[in-house]
Amino acid sequence: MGLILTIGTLTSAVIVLLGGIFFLSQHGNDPIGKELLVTSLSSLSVIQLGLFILVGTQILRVGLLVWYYLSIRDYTFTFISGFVLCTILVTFVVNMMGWQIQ
Amino acid sequence: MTIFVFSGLLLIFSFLAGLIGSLTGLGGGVIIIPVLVLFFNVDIHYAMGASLISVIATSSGTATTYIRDGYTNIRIGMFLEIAAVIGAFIGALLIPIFSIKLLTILFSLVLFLSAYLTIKRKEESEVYTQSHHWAVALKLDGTYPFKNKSTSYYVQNVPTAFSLMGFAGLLSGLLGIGSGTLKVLAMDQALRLPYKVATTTSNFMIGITAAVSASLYFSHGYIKPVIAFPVMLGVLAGAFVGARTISKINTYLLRILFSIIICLIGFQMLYNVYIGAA
Repeated sequence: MGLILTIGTLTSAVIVLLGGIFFLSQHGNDPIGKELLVTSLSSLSVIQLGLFILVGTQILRVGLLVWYYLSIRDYTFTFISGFVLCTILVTFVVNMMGWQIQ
Repeated sequence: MTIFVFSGLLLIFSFLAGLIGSLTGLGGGVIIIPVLVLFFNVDIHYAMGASLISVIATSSGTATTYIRDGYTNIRIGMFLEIAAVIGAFIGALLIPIFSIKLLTILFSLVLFLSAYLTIKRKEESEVYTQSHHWAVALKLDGTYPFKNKSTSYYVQNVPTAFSLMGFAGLLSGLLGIGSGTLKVLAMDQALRLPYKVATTTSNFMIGITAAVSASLYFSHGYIKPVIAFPVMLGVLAGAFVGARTISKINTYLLRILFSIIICLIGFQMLYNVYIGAA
């Protein structure tokens, strides 16, 4: 489990880093302004992808725990971590649907 | 200032936030938000989004190390997470209803109380011989590395901690920060865990709680890549470094660090409300 989490975290970090470097190379010398609070630039989209993966790693962590507790037949904690996982997933679905509707 | 300078400065602050967050069980958000709002004049909603990323990054940056070293109590973490995620879910829905000013004042009061309680406890002089029956039923007690050996500890007051955790989740959803403080408080004061177990388990939990709020923040557009990118990278690095060094730091020093940090933040946030920036 630890290895998967490390890989997930590092993957997200690398993607964000690459996106960030790309972004800075294009806009590094521009002054700070409100127009930069966008996500339409491709470099910023890359960063956003990395951020999604970071969050995804957290969700994956809970999923792995559900699997682990099931494998050691601790049904109480399988249920506990399963409940947490479902809450996270439901929240995501509900919020992402709201996004589509916009 | 140029974006380059902005990113660089933010990166440094984020490293510091991650470092302190990993040592205190906080998410670094308690540093990130005041820095962004007071120093960089960023809108509070985007600061909250960045803080959420900081929380998740702190959690991810510390998780592997703390679990492997044997500090994190995953069972306690997951059990309390039930209350925390429900709280976070409700809290996020309530964002439009609450005034930021009121929340900020409430939160700073929570911070001062936490600082006081944290310093007051002298865990070395406590002697427990058994755990609360809920803790026994759920097998929540455990061991942690203390003075180079695996030391066992007991767990008290489970229902109180569970309720506190629900409140912590609520704050997390509403403010984007704060759940770490209450998590550490609940585990340190209610469950009576060894301090480093409380902070490391808090680090473990805050990422999960934040993930619940994250989808809402993304869909509302509160997470801006421009700001989030130096924050995430800096915090990850700082948190990782902190996790590697926590075993060498005296617990009482960590308590003092925690209390100083949160008092500072409390004062900053009150000041924020006072000058009307909140």
